[in-house]
Amino acid sequence: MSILGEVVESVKAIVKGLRVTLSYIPKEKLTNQYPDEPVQVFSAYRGEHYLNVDENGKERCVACFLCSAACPANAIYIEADEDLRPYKERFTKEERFAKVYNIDYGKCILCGFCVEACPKDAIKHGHNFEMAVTNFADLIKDKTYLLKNRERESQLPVIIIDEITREKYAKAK
Amino acid sequence: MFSPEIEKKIDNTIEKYPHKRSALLPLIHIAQNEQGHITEEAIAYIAERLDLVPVEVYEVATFYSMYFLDPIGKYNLQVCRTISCMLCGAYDLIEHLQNKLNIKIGQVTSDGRFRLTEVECLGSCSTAPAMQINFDYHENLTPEKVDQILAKLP
Amino acid sequence: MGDIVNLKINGKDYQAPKGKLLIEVCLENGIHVPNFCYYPDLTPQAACRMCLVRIEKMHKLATSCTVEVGEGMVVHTETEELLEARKGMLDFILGNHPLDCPVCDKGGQCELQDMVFEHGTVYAHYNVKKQATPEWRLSPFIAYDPQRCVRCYRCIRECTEVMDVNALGKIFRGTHEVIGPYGLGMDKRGMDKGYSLDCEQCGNCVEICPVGALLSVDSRFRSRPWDMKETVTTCTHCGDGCQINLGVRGNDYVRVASKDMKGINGEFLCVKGRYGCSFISSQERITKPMIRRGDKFEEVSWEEALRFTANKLKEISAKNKDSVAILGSPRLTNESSFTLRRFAEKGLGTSNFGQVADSDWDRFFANLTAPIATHNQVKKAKNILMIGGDATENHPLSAMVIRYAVRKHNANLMVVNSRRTKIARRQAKLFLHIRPESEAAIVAAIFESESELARLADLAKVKVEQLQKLREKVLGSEELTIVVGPEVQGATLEAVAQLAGFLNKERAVNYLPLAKYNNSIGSVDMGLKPNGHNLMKAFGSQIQALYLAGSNPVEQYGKDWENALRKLSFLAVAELFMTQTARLADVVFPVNSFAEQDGTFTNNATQVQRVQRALEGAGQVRPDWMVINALAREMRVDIGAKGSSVSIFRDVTAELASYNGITYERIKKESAVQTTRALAQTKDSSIICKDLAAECSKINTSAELNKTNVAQGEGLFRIGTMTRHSPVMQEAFGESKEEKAETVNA
Repeated sequence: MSILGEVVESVKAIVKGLRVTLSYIPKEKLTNQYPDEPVQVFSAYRGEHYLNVDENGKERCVACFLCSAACPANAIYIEADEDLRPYKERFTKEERFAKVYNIDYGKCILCGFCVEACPKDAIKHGHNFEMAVTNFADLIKDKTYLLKNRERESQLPVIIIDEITREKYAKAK
Repeated sequence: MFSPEIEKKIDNTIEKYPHKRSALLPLIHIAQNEQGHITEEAIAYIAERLDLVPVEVYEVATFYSMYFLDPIGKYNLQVCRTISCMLCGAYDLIEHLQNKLNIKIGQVTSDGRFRLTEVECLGSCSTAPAMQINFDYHENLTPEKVDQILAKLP
Repeated sequence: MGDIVNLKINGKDYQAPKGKLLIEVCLENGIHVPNFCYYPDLTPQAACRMCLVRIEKMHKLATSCTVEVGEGMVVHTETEELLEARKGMLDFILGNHPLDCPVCDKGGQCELQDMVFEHGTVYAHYNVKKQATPEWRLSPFIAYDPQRCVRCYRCIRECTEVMDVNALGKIFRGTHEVIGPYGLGMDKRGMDKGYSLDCEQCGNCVEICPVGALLSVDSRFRSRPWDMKETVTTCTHCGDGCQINLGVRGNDYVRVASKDMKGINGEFLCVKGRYGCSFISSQERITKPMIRRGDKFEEVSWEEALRFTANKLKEISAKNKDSVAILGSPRLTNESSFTLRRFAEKGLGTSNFGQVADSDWDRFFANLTAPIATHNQVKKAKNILMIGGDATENHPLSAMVIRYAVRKHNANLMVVNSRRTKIARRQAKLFLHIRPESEAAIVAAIFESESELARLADLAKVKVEQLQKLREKVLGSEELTIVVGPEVQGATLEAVAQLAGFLNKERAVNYLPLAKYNNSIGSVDMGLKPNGHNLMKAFGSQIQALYLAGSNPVEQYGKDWENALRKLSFLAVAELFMTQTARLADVVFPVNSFAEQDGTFTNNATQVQRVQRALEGAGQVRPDWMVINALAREMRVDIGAKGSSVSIFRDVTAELASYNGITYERIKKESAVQTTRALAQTKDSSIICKDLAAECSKINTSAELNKTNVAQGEGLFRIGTMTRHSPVMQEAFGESKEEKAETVNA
């Protein structure tokens, strides 16, 4: 084979090899430049939980223990108590409430069973994935933290992809 | 706790039945007729007479609607609200009485004179709407007629 | 039992005794029939209509809980039609039932949940707004939520029939109907004015409630059935030895339940058993050994405490072996009592050992001439003679079985008592109201000839005719169950034990002793004689040192004991709490409560039952037997110490003939194993009469009859060393805070 032939073949091979790469150059970029840019996550992403409150700002959790029963990793610990004060004064919707509500993220596998089990829509998955800590004990998150998590949702370094962006995403693919 | 005559009447009533406790309904009636309504003392007394516990007497007294556990006032206005009377305007009557006496159904006026209640069929459909004041019937009523009747009451 | 009938259920042939309820036949044969209002031994109600079945040749569906089986009956329990009918009934029941399962304490154990789950989709045809009602606290123990109630009336029937308390009733009617005590709703009274459920607070209504309408305030919201560890163990409050299901979450007491239990008591419990066991998780438990330094106690290590005690005991024992005394208690397990006796005999060689109790059960068993009846046997008894004892207040299970015998087959109950007890007032066919402490005269009347009756009747201050009648009944009955209370003591008790022999061996006579404490009989069996009061007199003179386990005589018996204990040169106490007695001690050992150790109790029907370890116990608590073993090791004496309760119990069975053949495995299988006792020789009646005459001469003939009725709760609601530390009992019946501080600091 002539040298020319070899050159042509090589160029062809290079072009063939780079075709996939090159075809992406004009398309929309999908890589997130985390942590410089926010991460895109789906709305159904199972991040760190938050505890929900109802329209009046009362805690929805009634400490029914169903989430802890559903948890395959045994990560949820609850202690229930009663608050016999009138509705206006107490923080919770029902008289029964969780005095202690701890999730141990050292155990939690973020499977979402607790969210499915909850009859009161009290526990939800947030979109926070930055759960690294430098101390084991900090992995256990208490009720105050989990309640605050709901407010933190808006400040997370994530872009939550709703249905429309998802379609767009699919098309782009 | 009752006068000797009533005591005698109670004795006679109890004797009528093969089992003592069967005399419960008539005894509550006697006590109610005597005192206007059923008092706690009467319940305790009847329970003792019939070898029952107070809660058994209380169960029966709360079951029937014509046993009164609260003072019922001098005149018990019982307006029929079953279908014939309802169609002929019983609800208007009740509305009128509520406004006139300034009480709600089941309440007694502050002077203790009237008590307003709804009752089921008084059996006077042909002359609807009907009302029973204590034990007297008043028929073919209109709000005006009711006013007249109430005014005539002593 | 009568005739046997043949019937066909779901195409299969069955046989059953005539007159039995159809639902019972079905359930016994493993045919599932859903039900709410049916409950064994209660009168049929047919209120829930869930147990509908199709009986051929009957024109309507029939409620199987009210139909008695008959010859040739053809029954169907599982057809489309029935499923529809049951679904329809569920629809009614759910009509006003709130969807608050997450908040409801019964969730997970609820029969309505099971029923809906079983029947699949139940359509709610009633779209009417549900009647919301607030929850009521009926008493410090019991809460009631009318909205959840399915009106099965189990609670009311339990309260009237089984408990004979009549506290609950059905008030108002129709959709407004509620279950409640007298006065509920009466001019808005009742709930607003605080607690109004005037009853024994046994909580059995809570236990048998199929839904979450009646609830225990004690364990409210504490845990879920699936979330706690439940251990079957024996109650520690009275001699009846009910089996309880102790629920523990983590290392904390949650509740005591008895649902679906098959022990001697079934699902029955009393207020103490159900609500009085929370002391095990009390913050006031002693958790570390303590040594007295001057006026104060100092927490020390086990080694130090044991060494200190061992040295002291050795020192005092060296001069005179009998100067050291060991006193156990009727509260300890058999294993601990046994080890205690071994320590006294083998380790110290002292003859001064026993227990602090005021009963003579050792003398009773030494003279026993007939077997002991189990509670189930008493249920079937035809004639019951009850001498002394207030079963309702102090032995609720015994009272329940006696009531059962009277209610179910009209047993002839004869009561001899110096107090007007509830059983005497309500169940007794014959009640001899005697002078205080004159039981001897009545017992003598049975042994003596008829000519003495008038004199004895006069002694006991009863009518001669009554005594005559009692004598005739006792001498004439073919079967007799003799229930003997704790106040009957000494020669009288011996005579009672001899009564069966006197009455002729052929007759079926048996006994039920009403021992006061959970292991009164077991500790006597283990060789701890109830001689504490005699030993107490020698404190400070012959006896210089005392090891006291599990007793609080200062609170129970007062100043005499306190003064006596102060005279001792050394006192070691093993206790759960810092009691008044423990305060006088030189060394205090923290020991395990019944819920924290393995062992056995022997109840007053002489049945051996297991005590199981349900939780760890806080701090450094140890079982009593382990403390003794360690002490013996420290003293360098060999008492044949064994390292586990199982092996100690093996020693017990090897040594005591009556415990022969009982093993932990067997108890596990049978739940309660009765000991077999050798019966004593019947003594000549003239000897017994002589002894009784001596007892009779002690009767104070000037004493008047105690005419006041025994008030409800006199025994049940009494606050003691253990119940004082049960928060809900303390709140309901306890001393006020100042009083408590006084008793504790005294």
